[in-house]
Amino acid sequence: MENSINTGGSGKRLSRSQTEPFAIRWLLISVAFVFLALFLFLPLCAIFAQAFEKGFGTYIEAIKDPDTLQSIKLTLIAACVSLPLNLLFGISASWAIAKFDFYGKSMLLALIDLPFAVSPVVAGMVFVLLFGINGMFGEWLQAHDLKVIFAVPGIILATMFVTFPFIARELIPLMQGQGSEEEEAALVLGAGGIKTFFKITLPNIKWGLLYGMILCNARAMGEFGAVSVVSGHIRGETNTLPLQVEILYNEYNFAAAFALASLLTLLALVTLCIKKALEWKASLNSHPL
Amino acid sequence: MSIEIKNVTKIFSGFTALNDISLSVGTGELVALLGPSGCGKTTLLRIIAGIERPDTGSVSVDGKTVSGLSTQERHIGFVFQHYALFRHMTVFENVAFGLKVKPRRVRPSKEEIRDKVQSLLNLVQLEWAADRYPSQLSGGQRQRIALARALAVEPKVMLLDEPFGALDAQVRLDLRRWIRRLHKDLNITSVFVTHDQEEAFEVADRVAVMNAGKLEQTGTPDEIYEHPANAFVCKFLGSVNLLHGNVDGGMVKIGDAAIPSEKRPDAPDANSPFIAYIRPHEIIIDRVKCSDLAIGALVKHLRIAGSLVRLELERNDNQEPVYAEMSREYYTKLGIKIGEKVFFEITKLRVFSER
Repeated sequence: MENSINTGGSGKRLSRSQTEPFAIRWLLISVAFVFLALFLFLPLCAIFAQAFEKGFGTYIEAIKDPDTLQSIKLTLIAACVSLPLNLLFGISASWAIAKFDFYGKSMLLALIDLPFAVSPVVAGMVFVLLFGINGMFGEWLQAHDLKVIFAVPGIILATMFVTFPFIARELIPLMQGQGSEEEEAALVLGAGGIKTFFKITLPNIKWGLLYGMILCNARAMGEFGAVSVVSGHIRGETNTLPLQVEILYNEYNFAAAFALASLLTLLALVTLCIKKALEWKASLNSHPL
Repeated sequence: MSIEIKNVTKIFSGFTALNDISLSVGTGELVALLGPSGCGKTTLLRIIAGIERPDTGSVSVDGKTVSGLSTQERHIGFVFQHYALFRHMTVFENVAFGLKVKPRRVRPSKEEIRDKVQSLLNLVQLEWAADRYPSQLSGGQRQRIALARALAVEPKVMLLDEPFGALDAQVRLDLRRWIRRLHKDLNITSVFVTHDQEEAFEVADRVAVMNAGKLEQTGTPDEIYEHPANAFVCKFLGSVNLLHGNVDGGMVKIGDAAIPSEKRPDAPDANSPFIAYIRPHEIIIDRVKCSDLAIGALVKHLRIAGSLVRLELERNDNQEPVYAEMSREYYTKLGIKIGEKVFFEITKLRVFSER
């Protein structure tokens, strides 16, 4: 009885959606597009329009400024250090969660999500509390002449904190879905742990892994809040690209600010394209013909 | 290569999956581990392969204990229930995997690997599928590739986890015969897990019946079918009628009929209550009462299933249902219909004390 009601219900819904009046369909689609145009496309155009307002020469000049170049360099360093470390963490955490049962597993799962849940400013504050001059390890660090806060290590730490869920979050459902039967089969066939990882596990997760890395990288380069707290905004030293944009903007140097903003936007667009390409490639790969 | 399992116990967070199991499998033997799902048969198989470690007890292969060896050092062929084929590799690469991951000094050359894989694919009659991916094959074909992959490393022992489980009826029948023949040709000591008694009886030389982590009985299919060690084995081996009654001086009394019971070591004492199990085909039905042992009943239902006719009777004395089977020829000769009065006679019953 219940079954028949169910099928009746879904059948009805299906037929209704197929016979939806043309006007309503048209309305819904255009609402979506108008919304996208207003909130995404228009601002995007505005950024590039502003960036090139004073000509291509000014654009290049703005980027060639030594402080700006330094901020680009710092952003790349932060991304280049945090990405491999997060890769290591992401693979080990998702491996542990997907393939073993252990005490505190759900706790680990919840903790991985913490950077998503907490405001990046709070994340930055945590590092100041730990490594700042008056922080827990402050004295020890000072005694050993090590600088974390208002220096590159602090920026890398803050970047890592906000980006560490990306790879793990991408891999956990993938690895859980795949189970460990293929790895067991490889072991029985005589492959060792390392061979099993590189020949079986890695090829099975590679698209998800790349996807997670792309997202992680985009966030690492674009992070503002957490990095802003620990950076100290020292020009030409501890400013990352997003921080440099803010400084230029606050100084009414709009052309330069938008020039740099356009760089970040380009990064986002490239990320989007790679993400789409990966999704397409992954879907192609799961149904080889 | 023989397998010797001694006093193996395995406990998963408070749940006893295996309770003091001892089992030996002779060289070249094909043994079935038979039992309901959750009885621990797959765990036992995984312990033999080294994928799981026993809490106590030991496993030896060919007289040498393998408890200290890792999975990859045991040289065992394992066919997983869901095949576990490497989805990103072609059929050829799947079968070649075990050869390609060998340490360099014992690894065969590329040509040798190619020839070996080709001959294995010929053996499983899938040589045309070498360049396909597992997702492009049917269940039966994947199962055969899984077998070829396991055979590639020339294992001493072959373990198969529900090898026919996920396949449809016709494919199962073909694959059963095929595995039986393959085992005869290659003569590798093999153990397979199944929950289907028909499958176990048709394929295996010897059957080990398991229940709730314990080994209930081992023996040839015939031994187990004819002389089940206890009520569980008897019930698990197929549909049975369950009758309650009393034993009186070596005779089992069911209604008015007194039937001589089979002599069994654990047969119930005189005048004690019991459960008797009677297989449907061990009941003879007639229109007339030809002996004192016959019991009157009414035909409630009958169903013709191919060469067999299955009947549901209702006893006249206590209205309890009795299920019986007869051949189609006999049914035609007898010409009985639903609602008619008949007499049934029990030709064989197995009696266990009521616990």
